[in-house]
Amino acid sequence: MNRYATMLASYLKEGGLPFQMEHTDDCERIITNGDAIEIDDSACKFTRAITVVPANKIDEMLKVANRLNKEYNYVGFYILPSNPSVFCASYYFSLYGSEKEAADQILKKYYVFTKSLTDAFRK
Amino acid sequence: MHLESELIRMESKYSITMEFLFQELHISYKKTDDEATENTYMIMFPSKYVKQNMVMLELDDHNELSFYGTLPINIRPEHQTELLRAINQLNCEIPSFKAYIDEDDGSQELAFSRTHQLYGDTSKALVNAIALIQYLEKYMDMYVERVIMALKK
Repeated sequence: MNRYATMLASYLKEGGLPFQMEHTDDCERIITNGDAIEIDDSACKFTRAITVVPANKIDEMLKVANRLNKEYNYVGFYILPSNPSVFCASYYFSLYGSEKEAADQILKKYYVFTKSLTDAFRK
Repeated sequence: MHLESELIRMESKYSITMEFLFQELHISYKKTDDEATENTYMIMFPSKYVKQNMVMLELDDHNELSFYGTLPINIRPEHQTELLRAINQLNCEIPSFKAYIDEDDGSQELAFSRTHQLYGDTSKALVNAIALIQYLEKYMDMYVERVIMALKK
């Protein structure tokens, strides 16, 4: 497990937050609160699957994603071309510094991510 | 030290860094004079598709350096969904970079954005900023190529 993921896992454990950890070929994946937090040695990505898009609504949702991409600086919105198609949001950023600095940065940005999504879908 | 003065000190440190960086990389730049967009630079670099790519770089209070680049486009309404599909595919593949169609005041632009955190001492911030500029040079042309290909299909 990479050092940044280890530190984040210990933070989550201390905070009493339930999470699952998976190891992939490219990164460590922490699943918490339905969100995926993927961490490697230099970057972190949050992903949330927001909703399943029916085939007849894809064009409409592409327009929604475009509007949200314009409106929100940090979070990217897109439709994952899986079967069924899933509307997703993600936030990618570089990691740096010590394990503690990185874990603090991840938690701060996770707050921005969840707040952006709450704001985006409250309207 | 008072937080506000510390922030100003940090901002000015990285502002000087940015100007130094542009000079070192021989990138033409212009710092905007507008108070509301303080620490915003307009830079220009060569591109395959337009005579000069014009990109805005903004350094915010949290030392995050964001870029925002646009390319004027003129897509007919019947091709708009195809363009949105191509952009969606790229946003899905490359989550570190964002593209969207920006339609304001009747004009239509293909917009690109990304944010990068500057941190550490001046040399570290320079490495970070260089990485961002190289990234946008690489990806903006690639994005345009992919969008053109998608529209030709």
